[in-house]
Amino acid sequence: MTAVAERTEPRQAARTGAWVVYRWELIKLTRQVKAQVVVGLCVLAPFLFVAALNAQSNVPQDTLFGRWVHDSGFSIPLVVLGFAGQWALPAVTSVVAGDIFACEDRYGTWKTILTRSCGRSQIFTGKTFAAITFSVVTTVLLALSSLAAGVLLVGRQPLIGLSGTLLTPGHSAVLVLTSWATVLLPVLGFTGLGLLLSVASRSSAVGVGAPVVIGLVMQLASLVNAPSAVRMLLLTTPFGAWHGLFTVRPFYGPLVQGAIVSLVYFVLCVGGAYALLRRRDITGS
Amino acid sequence: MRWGAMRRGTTAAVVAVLLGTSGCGSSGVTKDRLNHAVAPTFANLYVLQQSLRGRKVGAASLNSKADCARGDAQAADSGAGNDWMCTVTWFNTGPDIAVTASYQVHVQTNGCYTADGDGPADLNGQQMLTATDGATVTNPLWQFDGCFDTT
Repeated sequence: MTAVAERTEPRQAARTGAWVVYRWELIKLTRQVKAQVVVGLCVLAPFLFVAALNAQSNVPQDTLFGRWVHDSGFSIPLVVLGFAGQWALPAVTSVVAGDIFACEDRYGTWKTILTRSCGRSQIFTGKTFAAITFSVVTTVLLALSSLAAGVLLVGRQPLIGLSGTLLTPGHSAVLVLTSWATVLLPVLGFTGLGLLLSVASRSSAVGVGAPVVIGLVMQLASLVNAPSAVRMLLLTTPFGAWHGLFTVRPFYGPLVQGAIVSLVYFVLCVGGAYALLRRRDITGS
Repeated sequence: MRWGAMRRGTTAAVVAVLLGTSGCGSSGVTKDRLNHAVAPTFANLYVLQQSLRGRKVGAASLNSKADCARGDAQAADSGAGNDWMCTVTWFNTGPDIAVTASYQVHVQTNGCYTADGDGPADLNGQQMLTATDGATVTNPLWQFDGCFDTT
């Protein structure tokens, strides 16, 4: 009995330790100006975008559903999703993920936090979940805000799908929210990339900037007709996997591929970040 | 040291996979897939355009077919590019009278395409059209987007 009690006790302590770190990181995030700015932009930007569109007769034809921005409000969140997947979502997620470990290097606070009652794995778990929470919250906010902007400022007209048929407002809303839900996985992949670069480089500039640059390079690679095997392995491809939902006979192949690729990126990056942090010599640095 | 070795190993493995698959990994954009995506999409949008003009038709009765090819006669009819040309044929008033329309099509690597109307002018030459109720609305056949599965 005592042996069991002894074994469960530190495990419970570890769990509470990670929970304390997580809560603390979230409190820090709500006080950070850059996090506040990003959240504010996610809420406001879609409304400004629609206001700018409504002020002119031109339409963003280059983007899917861009032709219908004046005809159906449900096209707005899809146009925003098309833009966001190109660079905005990787940038938004790495603002926090790329800095959350590197900031301890910048302030020289590793020794301080590790000599408290928290171990490295607890700090890693807490900080990782805080970065994930921020990514999910900002993506959800951007989705809801762009849907609200479309419905409120353009209207609830039926949307023309990618097979030329009219989709009812209810069906359109469900498909829009599903599409946004599917990009959560590549967003988490970029969160993992930000975390890894944050730990490996110990520099916020690299942690925040490099995922955006990597995202743009991947975007470029898929534009210049890279072989399909290469395109499949890019973390930017899953951002466009929702297209198949809008045809008469929906296809899910790109979604399944994208989910697997995103999860592999996430697991490799977070695993790599954890291994690097475990091995780092903090007392010597 | 172990980390360096592991990283080199991972890089080598990724490069090997890429080289191994890129040779046979041709683009998933084919003539057949594009034909089967453009024809029904055109039919659905034609029904929509005709209803805006106050005429009722059914998409199935049009029996639409598309024949797409790349502009360069030497090149194979596959792969992404903006030089695809599609001719859509459908039956309008009776089974014997076939009507055609042309589209310049830009196909992207992910299987999404944009078709730009290239005649006849009264069908797909104008961005806006006047509906039966007098409102000026976007002509669904002027340009349209669609996607097909390339996996």
